[in-house]
Amino acid sequence: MIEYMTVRNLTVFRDADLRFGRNLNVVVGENGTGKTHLLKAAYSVLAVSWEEGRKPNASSPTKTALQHRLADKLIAVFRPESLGRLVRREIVASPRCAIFVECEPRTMSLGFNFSPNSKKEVVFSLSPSQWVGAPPVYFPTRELLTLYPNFQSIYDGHYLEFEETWRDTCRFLGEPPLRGARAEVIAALLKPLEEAMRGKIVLDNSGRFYLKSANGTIEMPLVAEGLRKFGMLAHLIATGRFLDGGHLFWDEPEANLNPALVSQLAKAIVWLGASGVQVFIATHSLFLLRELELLLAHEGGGIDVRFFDLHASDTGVVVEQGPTVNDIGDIRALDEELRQSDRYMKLGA
Amino acid sequence: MPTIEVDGFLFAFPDGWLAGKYDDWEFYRSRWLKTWPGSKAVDLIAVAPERTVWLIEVKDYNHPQTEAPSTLPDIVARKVFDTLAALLPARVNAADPAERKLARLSTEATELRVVLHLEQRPPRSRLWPQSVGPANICQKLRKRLKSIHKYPLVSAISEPAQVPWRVVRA
Repeated sequence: MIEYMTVRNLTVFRDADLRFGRNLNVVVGENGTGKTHLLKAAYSVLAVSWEEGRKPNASSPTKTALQHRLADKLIAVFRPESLGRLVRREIVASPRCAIFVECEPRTMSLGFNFSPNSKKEVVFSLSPSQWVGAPPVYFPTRELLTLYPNFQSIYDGHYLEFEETWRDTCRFLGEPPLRGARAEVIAALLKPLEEAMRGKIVLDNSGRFYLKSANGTIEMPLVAEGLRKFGMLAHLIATGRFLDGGHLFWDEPEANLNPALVSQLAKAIVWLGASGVQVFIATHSLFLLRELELLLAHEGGGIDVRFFDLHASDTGVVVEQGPTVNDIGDIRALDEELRQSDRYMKLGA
Repeated sequence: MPTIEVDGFLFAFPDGWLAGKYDDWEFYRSRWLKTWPGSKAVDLIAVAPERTVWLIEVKDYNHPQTEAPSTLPDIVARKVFDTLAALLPARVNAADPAERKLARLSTEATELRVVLHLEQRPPRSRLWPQSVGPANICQKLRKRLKSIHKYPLVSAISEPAQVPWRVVRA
């Protein structure tokens, strides 16, 4: 798991120190304050370490092996024109972007930096001595089940302007459902999601996803977008992807979901966190925040959760953080609802 | 059963409670405000026998002059803060024995709670069953008051929070 991350001069961030929760991390903030960038930075670091470690005959991590791979991953995930474009632009100086990630166990921690002129490699200040064991999973704002057929092979064989997170997640979506002793555990976990979808997600031999229900089998493009997002999570749970911990990064999980589904989604997020997956979400949804608050209150403090509010300042984006939503800055979505009440109260006044 | 009217609402507290209309106190009006002009006051202070003191503010959005909803959490928080600042001086210096007694019981309390009694204007649109979202106000109040009362309540006649008193229109 990631315990701390310090970010210097990355895109909108000048200087940010983040202490993450073991189970759940919730990032809020207006558009353009870097929520997705934080998720992508942490994801890229973990993904490179896991990908390198699972290669056949992988040796212990070395700076040489990682410095190009991490640069490539950052470019593929963020999609800048060159690595140096990720460095925050300062008027007075030309600083380096520096990122330090402290993990548990410490042997997986790493730190690196790069300059605005960097093209294809980063400089390591601390290299890990152990690879990340469980893979990170990144869910973008849109579902990937309809995109899945042949996406990974096309992505790997051609140049596409898609972020690599899409390709990475499609790779996991192609895994078969887990069988054996742990299938019962998975079935119990899937039950609420399948009730919400009124069906099961199946991947057929042609490589297409379907929603199989009592009313028949529906091809995924005909299923509501919100349910497809549920389906993406359900299928990865079915493959056992989250049974052994790991990390889930989910950007705006509430996008395209109606409030009833957001309520189910919050339960799934809290369950994943409680089951040992370190979950990171970025959200604009006041409704989702409240669902999480209600669920966490029932957990009675058993879940290690951290909230992060990102807001713009003259010196870059500032991060306020704490263990409850009351410990962070003003929530913009809440302020906007109140301002909307102000406008409504003036109607007919 | 102590009963107090505030802005057209009757608050009926259980037997054994002591309650007072703080912003009408002689101490607050004639002494405290002269020393601290602009200092705010909650509408009611009520003390339960188990030594819980409740600070109660009443807002009725049927009155057109009621503050904008976005400013309400800060206004309530300021009233709570200013009232608490005045209670110990009132215990020591109030001339009225009843005010002194309620101030004494309040400062001897072992639990402090804050309630906003919030009445909505009648709904005019299906999109706005409540013109001022109680959860929105409550969430902002929690942030503002977290060092005073972690879980402030927002209550109404039609949707009473878990408070031990009853409220009816006078």
